[in-house]
Amino acid sequence: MQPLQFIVRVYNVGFGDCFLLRFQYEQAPRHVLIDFGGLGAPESLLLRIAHDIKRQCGGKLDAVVATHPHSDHINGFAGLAGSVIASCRPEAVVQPWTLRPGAPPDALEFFRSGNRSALDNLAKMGRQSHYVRHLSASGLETILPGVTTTVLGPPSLKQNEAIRQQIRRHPDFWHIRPGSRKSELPPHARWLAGRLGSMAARESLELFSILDNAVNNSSVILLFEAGARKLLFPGDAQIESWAHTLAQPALCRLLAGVDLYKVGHHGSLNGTPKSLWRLFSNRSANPAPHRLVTLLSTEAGKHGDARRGTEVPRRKLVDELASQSQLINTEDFQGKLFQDVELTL
Amino acid sequence: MPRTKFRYYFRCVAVAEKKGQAQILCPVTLYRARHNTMPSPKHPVRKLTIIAQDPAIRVAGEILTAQVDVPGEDLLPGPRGARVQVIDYDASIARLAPPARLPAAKDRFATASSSQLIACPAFHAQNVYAIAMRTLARFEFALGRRVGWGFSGHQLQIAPHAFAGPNAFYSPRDRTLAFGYFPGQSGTVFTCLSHDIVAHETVHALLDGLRRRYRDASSPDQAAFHEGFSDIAALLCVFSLPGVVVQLIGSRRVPVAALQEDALRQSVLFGLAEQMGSELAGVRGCPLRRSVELAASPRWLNDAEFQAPHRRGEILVAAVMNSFLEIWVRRLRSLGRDHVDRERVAEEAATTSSHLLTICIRGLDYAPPTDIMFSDFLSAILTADCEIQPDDSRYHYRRSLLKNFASYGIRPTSAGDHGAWEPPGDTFLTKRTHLESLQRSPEEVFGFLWQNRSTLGLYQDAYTAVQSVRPCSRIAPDGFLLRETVAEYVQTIKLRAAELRKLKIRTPSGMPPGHEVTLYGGGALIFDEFGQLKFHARNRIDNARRQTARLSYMWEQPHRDFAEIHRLRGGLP
Repeated sequence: MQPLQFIVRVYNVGFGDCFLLRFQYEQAPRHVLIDFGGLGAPESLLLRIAHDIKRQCGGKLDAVVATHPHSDHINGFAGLAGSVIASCRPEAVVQPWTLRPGAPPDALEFFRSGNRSALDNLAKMGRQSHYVRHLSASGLETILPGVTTTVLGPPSLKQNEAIRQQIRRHPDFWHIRPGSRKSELPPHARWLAGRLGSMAARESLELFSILDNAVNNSSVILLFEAGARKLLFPGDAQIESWAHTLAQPALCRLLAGVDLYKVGHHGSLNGTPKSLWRLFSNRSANPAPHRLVTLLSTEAGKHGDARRGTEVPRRKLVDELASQSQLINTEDFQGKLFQDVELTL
Repeated sequence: MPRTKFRYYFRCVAVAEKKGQAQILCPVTLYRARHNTMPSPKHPVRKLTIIAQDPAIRVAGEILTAQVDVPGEDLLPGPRGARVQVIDYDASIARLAPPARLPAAKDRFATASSSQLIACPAFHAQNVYAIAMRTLARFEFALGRRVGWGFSGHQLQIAPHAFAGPNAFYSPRDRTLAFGYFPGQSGTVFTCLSHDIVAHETVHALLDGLRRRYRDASSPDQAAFHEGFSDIAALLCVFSLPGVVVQLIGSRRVPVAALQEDALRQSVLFGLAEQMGSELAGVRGCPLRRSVELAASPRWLNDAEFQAPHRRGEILVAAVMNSFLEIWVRRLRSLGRDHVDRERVAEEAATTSSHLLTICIRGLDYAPPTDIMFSDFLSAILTADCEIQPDDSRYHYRRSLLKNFASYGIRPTSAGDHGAWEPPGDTFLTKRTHLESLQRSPEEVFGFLWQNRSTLGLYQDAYTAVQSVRPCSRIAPDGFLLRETVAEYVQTIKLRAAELRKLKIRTPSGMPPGHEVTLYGGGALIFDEFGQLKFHARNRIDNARRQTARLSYMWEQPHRDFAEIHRLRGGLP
């Protein structure tokens, strides 16, 4: 059984991601939801989107992918909107291995706590849960017949110590290391010390929630191959996570023919490494039959600073995307809730 | 007294004898003078140096400081007192700094240089302790009673160096004011050294104690009120500090032409805003500058930009600061024909700001306990002023407040005379109510509510609870001591969206019919010294117009805590 057509519905969640993939087969279509979250998105908007997703998939989701535990990717899975998604009874829920219950690196525990409700929902809603890592099985094999799904990220710790190293070295992460001298504190200061510890961690988490690369680098990167087409959804993976994939020539060859690319990390400075961008052979300045399609889900003015060249989305990257590919940018939606992008397979 | 202290004493005695001083000091006195933090009858207040604004403000190269009085109390090292405890734990490095000791008899930092003040963590502890205590004392003075914090417990904990990061906030669940520090252009910037920031955070904690429900999501006004009110109180406190206004005015004798509204706005308000700007703008935004620049116009209230709490609060600040300026100028007019001494100008600023601050704080007693709107606050402060100063003919405080609030589109909720709350005209049943109990027992006040539920317009199906009964003693305008009792009750009801129609409340579009919402209402009851109800400031739970607006606002807006609001103010994500 081969899919005939591929449609992705790009939702306008502001600064966040939400993509509903529809693989059209001869019989019934199959639906995969990749991420559902928007930074500061009001619950009413999330609920409207959730209802639209339910309508679009006919009340049945085949799979849900939550690339990584940041609220701009998963806060839609919490609350009312989350229960609408749960009511679509997804067959499989795919999440990064860092979220497998019981086997996490200690520092990431922290990021799970911020979005507890969404993550609890995600853990419960699927008939099966898959926690994936670089080149592991995706769990989507039976759900999407005729489609090869390759998991390119996140790398596991054994495969790449870089993520863990980054947590250690990142200047903002020293806040969350538990104080070793707590036992020496006088009794009157102990309670507050504990509270301040988590408060400071909360603060640094909030402040750097978009910039904390460690969690971004725990993003699930999925490459779908259907017919002759390749679709790449890298979540918020950044250069450190990509480095592992880009170091392997076979994978580079695989990436060369990508037809549709979800722009990594809302178009930030290091979400789309130049070496990755250069691999894409379907880039072209003029409309061509197989011209690369890029999806950018972002909202300018939320993060970074243009003067320091850290604005998200990065102007230079957006210009490059617009000139070298067919760019679908949620910023151009002008109040529309979504836009459909079709690809014949 | 420890053995080492005896040794110290004997050394002092030896030195005194050598110098030919006949007076032998008592070891206890000597020990206390140096180390003890116990108050003595000689020191009912503790004099403490604080930084008058923030360390960026220099006069002749030195930081502008002020010596303030705080109640002399028995302090443990920290300092840790009855109401405020400074615990200098830094979570970023997991380290507890040695506690600061503040002797009762002497101000350790009275003569310290600027660099000493910045480099000494003990001074930072003293600075936050003194500002928090002074703010607390100011509230207690205005309200005529003890004031609690917004959490269960009596001691507010302050961490002057809580974490590395450009933020400072009040965290009710941690019972804490946390102040961060961060690298600035010229060395580390400590948020705990800014008077404005420390006072602002302390006011959050106090306001939260007086009106617990103001933290709830309700309306753009309520979300903005906490920020706006804290800014107003923090700014008005600055004008009562000796030295600040004097420093801004500059020349010793001020020509009358420079004492007009526009001139003072430029020199004092903008001057102060300019100074407050600097590096800490990243933490606080510039509430004063933005409010002073905010041209009077009623359209701001509906402007999309002013729906965000941190922006909307500036409208309230602007209305109060403009009233302050107007009244201050009115008071200055009587002072001289051509020149006025700058000390007198500053004194008038202190008097005006002090009175305005008193009525703003006292106004909280007259404000409904849930879902406050700016218009309610205006009625509340007008009532407070009527109570303190029935005769407004001299400086026209009420006229100025009404005029300036109206220029920003805020009109009093009460349709009564001058916008103050009307006394309830009804007669109330007091058959089973006892005066003594009514002044302190929530059960008795609840009994009063229940007996008079229809007269008071309570919604009978809602859960009703008396939150507090607070006896207070205030000075009446005739100089007599006045005993009043302030009680608050809150009504709560949980309804499914489909049931809202019964109360004529419109359901926000998209809300599922089974979705459960909680509605709040309530009132503040002010009883006079004979147990008669003097005022009833309230929000009815069945006020369909307000509840419809509240639900649709809450449905569209994410709820934010103080830490997040403050980050947003500073322009951080």
